[in-house]
Amino acid sequence: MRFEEFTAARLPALLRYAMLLSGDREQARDLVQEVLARALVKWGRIGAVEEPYAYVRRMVTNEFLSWRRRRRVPTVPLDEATLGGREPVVPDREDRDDLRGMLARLPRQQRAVLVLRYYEDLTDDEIASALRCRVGTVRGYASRALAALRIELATMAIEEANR
Amino acid sequence: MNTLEDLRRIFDEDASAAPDPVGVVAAAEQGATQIRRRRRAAVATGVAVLVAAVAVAVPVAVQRHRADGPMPATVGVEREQHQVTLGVDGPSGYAVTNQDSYENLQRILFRNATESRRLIASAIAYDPSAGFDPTLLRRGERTTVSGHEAWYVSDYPLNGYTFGQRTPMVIPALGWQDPTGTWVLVYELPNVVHPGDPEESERARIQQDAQAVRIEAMHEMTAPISLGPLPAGIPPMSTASSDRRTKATVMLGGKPAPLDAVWVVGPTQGTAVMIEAEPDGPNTQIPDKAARVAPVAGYPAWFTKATSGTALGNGSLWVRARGCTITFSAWDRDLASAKQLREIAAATKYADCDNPATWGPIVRG
Repeated sequence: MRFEEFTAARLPALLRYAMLLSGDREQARDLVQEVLARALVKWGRIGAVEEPYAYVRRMVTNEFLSWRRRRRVPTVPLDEATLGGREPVVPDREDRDDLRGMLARLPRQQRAVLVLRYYEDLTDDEIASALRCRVGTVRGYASRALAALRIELATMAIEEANR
Repeated sequence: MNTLEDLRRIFDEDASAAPDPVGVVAAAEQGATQIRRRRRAAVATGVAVLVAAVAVAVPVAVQRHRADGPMPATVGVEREQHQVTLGVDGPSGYAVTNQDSYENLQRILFRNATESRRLIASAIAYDPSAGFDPTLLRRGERTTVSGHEAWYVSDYPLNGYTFGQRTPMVIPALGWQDPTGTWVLVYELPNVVHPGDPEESERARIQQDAQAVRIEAMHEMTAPISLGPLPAGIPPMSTASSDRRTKATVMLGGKPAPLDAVWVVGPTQGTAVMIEAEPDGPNTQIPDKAARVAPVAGYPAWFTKATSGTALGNGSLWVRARGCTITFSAWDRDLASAKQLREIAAATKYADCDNPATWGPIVRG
């Protein structure tokens, strides 16, 4: 597969994935740009693998996990004054925003596991392969992350049974 | 309590806020070009080391090579702003006093140490990527410099030297193209051109200056400061170092300097940080209003907040180290924070200001 074909088909998916990992549009864009630059340099090899998307997604994951603090783009939080008044709150919106806040505070590995599991729909074996760690480690990360997010245990049990 | 359905819904919502793909591929392609350039530069450095080793092992062969002309630089290798190829031949009696480097051009000031009357000559090297237009030069009188076909022009319009006039200063200049594709222009600084000198002697002097100029294998510019890893997004855009005044300057971030702005390294539009290292002296007094802050890399440091309305966005960090005073100035408050200044200063290596033998590369990367 040529680089141009790959980006035409997969760039939006990569950006969505990076967005979920980083939680920040600018960082997501930087992550993908940086990874694609490095991927392009060795595209002869990447384009020849069976699933270039999985390969590049792993590069994005690794880049995110090793993203150094100094690379963070300083952002200014939007407060009530800036917004000119609070946005109307939909009944369950507050809870979900709280969940979003908790998600943002998760350690990076845990967040990556959740995104790979519940957005990219990878199995724990596939996640272990992507993160180059043991399946037990993946499950440990997932378990701690879900506990931190106060995800209802009943739904977790059903999910776990189905995996 | 939350549910997995809530989590998936948040993922879907956040994914829909992903950045627009427009421009990402183009930026990645540009990034890939830079990676390849850095790799080629690393290879070139290896080649330069090999060349040096061969030069030591086979001096006779090297001597014969030098007799034929200057040591050739590596062809096709793109230069970073902190790397230089423009220099003078050591045995010629000339020495470089100042060296500036920009995105695609370099400039040196050099002088003949044995001749006191003439102070300074200057040379500009335009990298092949600069797109130098030699049309005017080629209209001049044909001559030869170190075996290269060259042209002498008595009224060359040197852009950048306008001295407040609308039109550029017109001076005698001599230029040629090196085998690497680099165009070299040699002239004497306008303020040391001797009025009343017959043109023949002027031309002879410039010809003599030009014979000393070399395009060498690429090497790092050295300075009493050596900048460590730099924050992303603000790469070095121009660097300058001077043996004579022991002053080093680095601009981080911003637009490349225009081709005709070859005078001193200075801030351009978008410059984030300006770093200057000067020997301790009357010019480097720490301002009274500066507050003493925690030492940087073990050296005493001060911080001055920017005065409202000045260009120095987030203030300046001053460090006194090994005979030099180094200022790290946040030129643009949106592009560099005071914290970043401290990080840059902490990652910098400080050499003995008065001993160029101890200096390292001005940017370690």
